[in-house]
Amino acid sequence: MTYSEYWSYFGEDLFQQFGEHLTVVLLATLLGSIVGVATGIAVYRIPTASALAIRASGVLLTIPSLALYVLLLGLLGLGWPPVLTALTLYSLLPIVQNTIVGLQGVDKPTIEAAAAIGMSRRRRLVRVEIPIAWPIILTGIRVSALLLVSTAAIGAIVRGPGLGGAIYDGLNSIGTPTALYSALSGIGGIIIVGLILNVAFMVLARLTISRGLSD
Amino acid sequence: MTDPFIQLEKLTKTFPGIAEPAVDSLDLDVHEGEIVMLVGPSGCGKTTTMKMINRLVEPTSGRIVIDGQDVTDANPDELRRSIGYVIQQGGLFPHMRVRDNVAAVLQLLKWPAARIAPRVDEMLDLVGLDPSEYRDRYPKQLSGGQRQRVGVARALAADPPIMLLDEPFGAVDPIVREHLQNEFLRLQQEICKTIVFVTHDLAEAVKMGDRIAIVGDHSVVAQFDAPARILAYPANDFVHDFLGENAELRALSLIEISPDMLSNFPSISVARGNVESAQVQGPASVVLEAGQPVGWLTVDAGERHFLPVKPLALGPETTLSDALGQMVRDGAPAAILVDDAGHLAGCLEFSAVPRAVARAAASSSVSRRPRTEEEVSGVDHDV
Repeated sequence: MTYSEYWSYFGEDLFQQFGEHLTVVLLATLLGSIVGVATGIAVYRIPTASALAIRASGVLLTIPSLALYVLLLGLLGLGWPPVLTALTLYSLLPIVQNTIVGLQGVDKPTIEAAAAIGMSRRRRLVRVEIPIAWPIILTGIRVSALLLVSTAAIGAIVRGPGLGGAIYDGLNSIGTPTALYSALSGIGGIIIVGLILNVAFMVLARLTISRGLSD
Repeated sequence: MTDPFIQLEKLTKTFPGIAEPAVDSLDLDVHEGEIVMLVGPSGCGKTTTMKMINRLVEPTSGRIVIDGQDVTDANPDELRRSIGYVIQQGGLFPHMRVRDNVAAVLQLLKWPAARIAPRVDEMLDLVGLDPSEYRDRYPKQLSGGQRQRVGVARALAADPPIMLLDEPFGAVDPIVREHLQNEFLRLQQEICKTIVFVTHDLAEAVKMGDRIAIVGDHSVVAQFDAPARILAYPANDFVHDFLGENAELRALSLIEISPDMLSNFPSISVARGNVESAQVQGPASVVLEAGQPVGWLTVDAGERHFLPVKPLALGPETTLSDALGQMVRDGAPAAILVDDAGHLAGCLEFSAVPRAVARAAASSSVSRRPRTEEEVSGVDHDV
């Protein structure tokens, strides 16, 4: 069996898995960004709370993904829910940490100048602090997304979405002609997902980071 | 004298965990349209004092009254929109273009967009930046001096009656600083804001201030008076030490030469380029060529010396310091002063200098030298 024959049989499945992989990573990154940035904003002014938030999200990341999927299996069953949940939890550390570091790093006189012209706390945060911290926050989100690309593959263990399925099929059919093709297709697809995300984040950075901060 | 525009009454600030108050029961009055300089050693609490006026620092006790209204408990955000604030390097928002920086307060005040754009251009013009060239730039694309100007433009955009300046010209090199100071004084002639200006630089305080508050530890005001009076009559040892040696010399550049300080010397009229023919009339005479003084003719041990001198023009620009400079530089027996037409107005002898200092210090009306048209228009906008 040649690869093109394999492709004609399984190409459609692979495309679907590819789409699922991208979707689950993006969705988990989005959820993680909402939770992580909100957490960072809530704690960044309080040093002890900041340290606690970073440590807690760090602990989450130390749980082996295999174990976490199995753990969530009992609570959420098979398929999307455990994978999406696990990936969201994994995404938190870089996002929380970079949000805190980014916001804490905003030049104090700049914040004071914002206060001095009569901006409220909230407006200061939205109009001054977050935009200035944004390059660092966005870097955290990008690191999370790329981290999730590989972690998501292991989600196949709980019948999760994505290209992990192809790799898993390959593992399960060692000795058959399609095993290698499956595994390679899964790996290749994951690399492409990673490349697409990288480009997407570059574009996002270009579009959302003020030119006054970049270049 | 009208009621002070800003009144600080028994203002005290104690920071948590520090027993000694940073500012201890401070009283300070600032009148409408004047520049009050807070000057003192670093760490004396002068910045804390200033920040209590717009409540960036909340006073622990005491009262802040602005234009007759007690604002000690007013909404700080609203209060701040009516007080311009300029800090070192302008405190610009790095992620916003110049126009958005300048418009920031206007947006807070909910000006309609159609009024904001022309106002931004007007403000940039006012601080000497060409709007078409600068409004779309980011702060990092500006020089230090330009950033400072944008900071001033932003503070002035909503036309607040009060401006607070915290070492605004501290981060630029001395030449640019001098330009910015001159321009700011020119601007103040137009806008007549009530200004509180914090600096650690005595020279800046003397140059910019209508009145100077010399501030010691815990923001205790050691002396609060016009620059010339402080320089000539330090109230106590603290002020004396702070001023350093030769404080009186600084006062010289504040005191304008007036016609009644001048005395008459004999003068000799000669044809142009024909000084040799002059008849000596005494130990020192002013040589006039076609009615315009050109120098001194002196006789020393029987020898004639001609001493070319460039006369000083009588006017608000010319101070005792300039006259002394001429005497020292040229070794002239006195400084030669001319009127607007270039004709000899009189001579300022050395002995007149200490008399003028004493008189200026005794009169409370001396503030700083007024600025002239030349100075107003002759400033360099390309800093």
